[in-house]
Amino acid sequence: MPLLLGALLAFSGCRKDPAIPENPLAASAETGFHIPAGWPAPYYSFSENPLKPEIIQLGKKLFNDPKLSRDSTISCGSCHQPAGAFSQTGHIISHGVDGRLGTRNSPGLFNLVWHPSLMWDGGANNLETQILIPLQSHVEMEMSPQELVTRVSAQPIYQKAFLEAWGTPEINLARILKSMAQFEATLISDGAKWDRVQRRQASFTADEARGEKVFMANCAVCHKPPLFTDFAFRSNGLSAGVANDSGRMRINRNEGDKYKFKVPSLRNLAFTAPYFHDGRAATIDDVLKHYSEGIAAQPAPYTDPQLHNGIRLDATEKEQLKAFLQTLNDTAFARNPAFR
Amino acid sequence: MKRIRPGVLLLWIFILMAACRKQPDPIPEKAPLIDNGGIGLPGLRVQFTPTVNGAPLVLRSAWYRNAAGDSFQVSDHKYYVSNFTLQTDSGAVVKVPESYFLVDAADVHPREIRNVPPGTYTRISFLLGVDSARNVSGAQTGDLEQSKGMFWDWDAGYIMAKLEGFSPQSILSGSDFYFHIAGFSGRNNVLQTISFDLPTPLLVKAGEMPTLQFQSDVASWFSGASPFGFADYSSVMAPGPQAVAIANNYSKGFRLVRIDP
Repeated sequence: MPLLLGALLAFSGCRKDPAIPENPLAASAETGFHIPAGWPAPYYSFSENPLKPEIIQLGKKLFNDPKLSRDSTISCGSCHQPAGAFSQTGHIISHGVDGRLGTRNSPGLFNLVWHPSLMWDGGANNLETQILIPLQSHVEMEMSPQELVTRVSAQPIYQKAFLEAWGTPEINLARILKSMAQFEATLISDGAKWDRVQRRQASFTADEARGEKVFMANCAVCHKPPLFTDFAFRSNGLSAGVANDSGRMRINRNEGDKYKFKVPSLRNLAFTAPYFHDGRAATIDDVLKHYSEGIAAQPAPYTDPQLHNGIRLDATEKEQLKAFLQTLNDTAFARNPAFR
Repeated sequence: MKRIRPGVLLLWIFILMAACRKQPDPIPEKAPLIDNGGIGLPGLRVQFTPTVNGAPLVLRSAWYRNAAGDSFQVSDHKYYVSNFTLQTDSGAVVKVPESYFLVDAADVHPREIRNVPPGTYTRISFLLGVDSARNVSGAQTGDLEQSKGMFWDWDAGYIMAKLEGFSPQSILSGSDFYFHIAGFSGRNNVLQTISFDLPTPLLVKAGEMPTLQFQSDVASWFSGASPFGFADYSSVMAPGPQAVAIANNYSKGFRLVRIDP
């Protein structure tokens, strides 16, 4: 008992030290943000953008507002829908203003604060400024930051919301971006069966357990738990495709990074089809076929060295792996009413 | 219920206490090297005037000639200066916190640097561009707000310097030229530190606001260690060796012309 008291004292002593800033993540019950047990520290720093429920709500409103696009037809939420784990289920390529098409599949948005870079090519180094990329893209929202501020400022509903959220009525680009980043920061997906198994609240079936072994032996180096990505840029041996998208090389002009894309998380695959950076794989079976047979059949010189021989899996292993991948689906996340 | 072992608890106490000590300072990177006592101290002004071959740059109407002999007009010219530091006659260095200025050829005016401790200064340095930290720190305000046409929308980061215009020698279809110089890390780093010994010691004291008059030279973009003409490049819009070479060129075009009282 004295020991327990000591522990409590040590803990409360920690909190009372005036030199220590208030933990910006402390209000997790109010904001919905939390760091799941066993996960690394988030990459995104909240120190200049402490979470606040009113700011998160404002961010959600902005995220879902089509006025953020040039012709007021496309919101962030058009291509990032809650039921699709914030991807656009069933769309190979989502359309932007005037029906324009880019070259990449709209990725799911979850656990973003752990990502050291964002976008398939890692072109964004911060959750806040990432927003400027789809916002200004000719094939997505085609909005200038200046026009964005003008438009948002003109809406009485935002004037009220900014005052409530930020304490003063000023509407500027930084507040818009930080609000949206706060909403995106709260998109935490840690409620899959896999997570419950880690928390000892559930256990794998025999097939899932065998699938986990297949996964750990063949996939986990790049799709590293618990986020199921190592955030690296890699080529998985896909052909260049119609768009001949050079991927990471477009950002750093490094020939060695040609056709490399950021390793996507394997969480929530049930909601994020189709797959790969350009959405060319309609189903998980198509994906597994590429790794198992496609890479060897059509070798591409830039393929990640670890995949040069593909990942040979027999039919049983594929089924077991699929059973395991199913355990990464977070239905509660895709149905979370707080995100709608 | 599982029994808690005292040894484990002791370990936890130790970990928690260690965690206490490891809390970082709230905003260490913004602390000046000398405690300058906060707001309200005297200061100074800096003014940056873009010129071409000695005369103030006139946008959109004046014709200029670069070292390659190409004639050109300038339609837009902006650059960032930041991270000002001052050195006293005793060698102490004062880092001016939050000093980020966007210089715009269309709107040349003096900028105030407040919070400078009274003293006699003999040297000034600044960064041509925006430090790497601010390139990766998300949404910014003031001159760094990402709505000034100086932040890339595909490879996030600041355009440190921009020169756009028109030249009959341009190899682009519209005879335009575009130089957006960016890149803040590794071999693509275009940041340049510029330092000047002051021609006369600068006395900073209450009630006075001396102005340091700087000039930059558009012609220097095209000359120096890596001279080029529009036939070589009419557009540099990505980080890389061309941007680094141009940044090296224009960094030599800065002059501290005089100090106005």
